[in-house]
Amino acid sequence: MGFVGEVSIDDLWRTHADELLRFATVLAGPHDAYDIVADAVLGAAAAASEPTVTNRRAYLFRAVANRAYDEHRSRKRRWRRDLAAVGPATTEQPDDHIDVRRAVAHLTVQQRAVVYLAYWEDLPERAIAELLELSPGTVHRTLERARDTLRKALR
Amino acid sequence: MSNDPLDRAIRNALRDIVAAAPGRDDVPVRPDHLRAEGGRHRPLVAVAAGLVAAAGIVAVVAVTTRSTITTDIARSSTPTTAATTTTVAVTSTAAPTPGPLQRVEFRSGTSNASVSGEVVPGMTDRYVLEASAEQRMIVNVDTASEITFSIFAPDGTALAEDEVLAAVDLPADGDYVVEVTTTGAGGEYEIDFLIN
Repeated sequence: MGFVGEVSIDDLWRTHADELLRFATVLAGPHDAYDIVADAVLGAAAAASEPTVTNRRAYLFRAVANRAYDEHRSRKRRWRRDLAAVGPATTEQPDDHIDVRRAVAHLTVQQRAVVYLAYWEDLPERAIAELLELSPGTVHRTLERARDTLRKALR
Repeated sequence: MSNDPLDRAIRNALRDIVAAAPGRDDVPVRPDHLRAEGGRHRPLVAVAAGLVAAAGIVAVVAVTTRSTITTDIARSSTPTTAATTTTVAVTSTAAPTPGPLQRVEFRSGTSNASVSGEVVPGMTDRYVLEASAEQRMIVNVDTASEITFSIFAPDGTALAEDEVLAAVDLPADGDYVVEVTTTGAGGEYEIDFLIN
């Protein structure tokens, strides 16, 4: 059992893995989600004793987002394919959210993170800003840009 | 957050994406094992999934021949609806040995069917639906695992590949094959067919 500071890796995993795996899947697709979260948890455990880490959950979310960004740069093609999960089978789609899902795959990592936290976790913009260590204004603009992009997918 | 159509569509899209997330208990290697090995390690499950995916590709290629499929289909001689031919033959085939055939039929007066199954790495579940030109087929697979399907026309042309939801306009009369496969560790799924 690996303990770093007062936190065991198993405790971190048990407490946060499910929500982080969902977050990572939205950011990077299901194929890479586990790797990303495993890395984030290991990194968080190693950093647990650092005085700068005051909010472990926020640290983990940021770690996942940062790792997803790295994955995005190295695996852009597969990442989009995995996330879209719906290909151009036909010129018409049976439901609006299919177009939106495809559009989600083309958002930036930061936009996707903000959209997920706003729509899935139902966090207000200020809480998202604190979690991701962004300014409230950045969160607001990011969310609006993402919504504009997704709105076009509905037209 | 308001509940306008955009918001609903975003939530629905996220729901579908999140449904594909692996669970924390899906992985055979615990994080402390990884840490004990030192450095950045790809979990063994990811490596295994890669190998399985490679094997799955071989399996799909091996079972895609349409002539084999159509000769295996036991057709229903009595259509139950005027609009839709209703034979749905179900097969779970592990290449190279074909699995047993299982027939599923649309209920009389309906044009949709739902089938539950479980697909494992290296295997492909195949569903065969007889339909007519100018009909439309909508297929949706509901699963928490990395499972997708492909739709093939009677002449073997792929109409949709690696989808979780697709709607295709059918180009000809005949048997359409829906192949379900997994790119991960496999799992249970429910697949819905609608022909109209």
